[in-house]
Amino acid sequence: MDMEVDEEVVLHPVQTEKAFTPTPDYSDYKESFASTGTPLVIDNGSWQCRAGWATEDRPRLVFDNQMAKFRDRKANTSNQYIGNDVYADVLARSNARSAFDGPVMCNPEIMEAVLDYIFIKLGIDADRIAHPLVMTEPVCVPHYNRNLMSELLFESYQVPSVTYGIDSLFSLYANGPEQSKDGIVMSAGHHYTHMIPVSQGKVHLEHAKRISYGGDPASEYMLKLMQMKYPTFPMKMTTTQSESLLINHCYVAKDYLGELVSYEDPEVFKTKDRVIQFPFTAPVIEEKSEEEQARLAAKRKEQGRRLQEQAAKARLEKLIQREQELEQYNGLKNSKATLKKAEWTEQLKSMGFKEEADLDAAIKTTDAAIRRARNKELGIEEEEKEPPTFPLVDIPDEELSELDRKEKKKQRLLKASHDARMRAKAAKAEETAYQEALARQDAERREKEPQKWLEEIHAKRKDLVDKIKAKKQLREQLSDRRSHASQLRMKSIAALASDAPPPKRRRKGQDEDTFGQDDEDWMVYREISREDDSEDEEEANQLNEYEQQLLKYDPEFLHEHTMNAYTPKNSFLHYYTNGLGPYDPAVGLSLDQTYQLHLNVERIRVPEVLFQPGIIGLDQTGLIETMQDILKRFDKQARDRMVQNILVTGGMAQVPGLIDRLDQSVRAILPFSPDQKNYSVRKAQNCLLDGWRGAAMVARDGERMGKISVTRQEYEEYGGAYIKEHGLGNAHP
Amino acid sequence: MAHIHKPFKRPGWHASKKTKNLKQIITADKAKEWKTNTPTYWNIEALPSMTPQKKYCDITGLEARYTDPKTRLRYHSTEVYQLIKNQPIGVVQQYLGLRNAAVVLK
Repeated sequence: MDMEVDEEVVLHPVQTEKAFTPTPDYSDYKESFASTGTPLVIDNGSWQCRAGWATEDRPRLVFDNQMAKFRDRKANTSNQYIGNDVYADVLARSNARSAFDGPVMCNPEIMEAVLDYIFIKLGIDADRIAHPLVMTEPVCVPHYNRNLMSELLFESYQVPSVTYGIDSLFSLYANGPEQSKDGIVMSAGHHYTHMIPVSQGKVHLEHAKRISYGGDPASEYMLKLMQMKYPTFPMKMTTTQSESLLINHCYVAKDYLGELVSYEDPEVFKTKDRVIQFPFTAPVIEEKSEEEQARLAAKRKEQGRRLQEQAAKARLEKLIQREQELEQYNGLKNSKATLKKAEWTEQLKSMGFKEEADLDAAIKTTDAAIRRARNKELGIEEEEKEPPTFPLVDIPDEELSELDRKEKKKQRLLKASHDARMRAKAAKAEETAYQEALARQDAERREKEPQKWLEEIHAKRKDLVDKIKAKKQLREQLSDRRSHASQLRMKSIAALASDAPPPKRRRKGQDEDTFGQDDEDWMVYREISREDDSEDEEEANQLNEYEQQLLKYDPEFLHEHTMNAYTPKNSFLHYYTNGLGPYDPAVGLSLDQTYQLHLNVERIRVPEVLFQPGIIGLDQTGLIETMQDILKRFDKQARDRMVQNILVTGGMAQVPGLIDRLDQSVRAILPFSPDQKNYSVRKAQNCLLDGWRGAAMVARDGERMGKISVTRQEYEEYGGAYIKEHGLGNAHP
Repeated sequence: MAHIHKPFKRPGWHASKKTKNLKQIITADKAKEWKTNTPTYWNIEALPSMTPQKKYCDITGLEARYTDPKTRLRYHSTEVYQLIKNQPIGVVQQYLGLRNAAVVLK
């Protein structure tokens, strides 16, 4: 094991899946709540649902607001999982659905299942829900959706009364009821970020604003950024994972541009880069013992020997067959004297020969083959063949018989091919000798005048590099139709294709077409051809040769000076994606590194969208501009009161640095005050639970509840969308 | 879960299975008559920004000093430009899509 570990690199494990923790079942309903009429409080958020008794200081149930309903084909059962129970089952995980579309509840069927779950978990076993209900709803929820909810609560559960309110206003209330008369609450939620002004106890929803960015779009954005940054990542990243990246690693920069610049400095980068390690399994390399290796080697050897034996056997069989054939041929040849001619010819024909010459030839080849085979078997190197002789070639035709003349023709052909072979061989030898001589000369020169030699190689290399670069540039220019290079090319093509004589005036006697007389003329075709890469490889080889020589003999020429050198330490893009850890360009990333994400600029890029929605192409004002916009609609006194109490709540409010940044930016939009800080930005005590806690505080106030809740009778009279305005909820229609 | 006894429910009553998505609901709502100044789901949306927008590199997120005239990608440095030049058009569109500027064919 390599024990050398870079101490600076801290690996952060990724949270791959949400862990399942069972939700407790409560059984104290009968003795504690059955006859008390204690209000029930449900913070019905699109991300999490929080439910519990108003008399307690925190919700009993906090779970992800979702349901999975599916049929298990194998077991033939229909299953329903709700809330965090969904994480207990793989199939349920993939079937999870939410009752919400954006922040608004649109699916009463899922909502009904979730409410059932809440009441079961709280252990309610009465014949109805005999508890006043306080429930949160989104800012300016459409009446249609509130009607769906009221219908569900009154018809299915027969609740005595319902009070709806806005979670962020409840949160404002929970963070100081006496201060909640004036202020601005900024709620960075799951889908959206809302900003609601409150002045003298009145909620000015007509001046409230919603920015379409929150935890969910931020996770999506993070996911997309990571997918683009690592297109060949070996695992499929999920929003659950990107959400965990957002929660654990993002922060809001106090000065965004300054922070961006600081990331470019490798030293600063090193301290801010977060390495996220995904789980991976290294391939098991089987380590074989020496004994086993020896055994395997022996096995291979044995196999080889067997193969050799088989081949030898086959050869022997063939040899025997050949010998038999030769014997037959010889017998036939010898029997010529004893047999009658007709009989002999018939035998000759039956053995597949046309005439005697064929038989002679067959005897000769078979004999030669047998000799070769024997020699091989006995391990005798075949002696150098004597150069073939062609005796008939030089004898004039007249002196030859007809048969010999034919033979002469054959010999002449054979001689020609033999000579050609010899010539080629000689040329090859000459060439190698020439190359060797060149190399020798080169080496001599290198030893004699090393400086000059190096200079020459450098110059040659530079020429080649320039040439390759120019070619590359030309190719790039050709890809743009309007570039100068493209237009020149089009001109050449037009000139070549036109039938008309070139318009230029020419001197007399020079008007005939001379194209092709000069070899250079043909280069025009090369110029207009787009895919000309025939020489590329050659040039690359040549360049490589020069560079190898330089690497070998020039101590100042290092690997990073080569043309294709990759210098990770100087490349921002390299450490942006791969960090500043050890990296060998020849080997590439190690296995654990391919399963790593480097989170750096994204750490501030993703939450920054709250301040600059333009980053994701969202054409809306950011937090500060929105606040400025809202403040403009109030008079100075109201404004001064409101900025004393700017409260930030919701899941995204927990991103580190958000409050500092807001504090700093709000100062910039307020009139200058030299002596004291005339505003206050603060974070809710508990960004996630304060909505529920505020609602519970209201629910405990029996007198107030009597004034603001909608009773069953009122529901029947005025319909499901009816509410009473109470300073912490939506406006009356 | 489905088979647990729920005594607190009125027997025989079930939530409607018909659902409308938020977009449909809002379109229907918009068609109704509203008093001016009534806050509604769609009119509390933050307005388009009036301040000049800073431009950021589409690849790295750093401040973008340049825009590639060919792909319309914003980039931070020559090094990033070298990368952009070799990107296939699909990847370029994905990068543009990150800030909602991709060409969408309908």
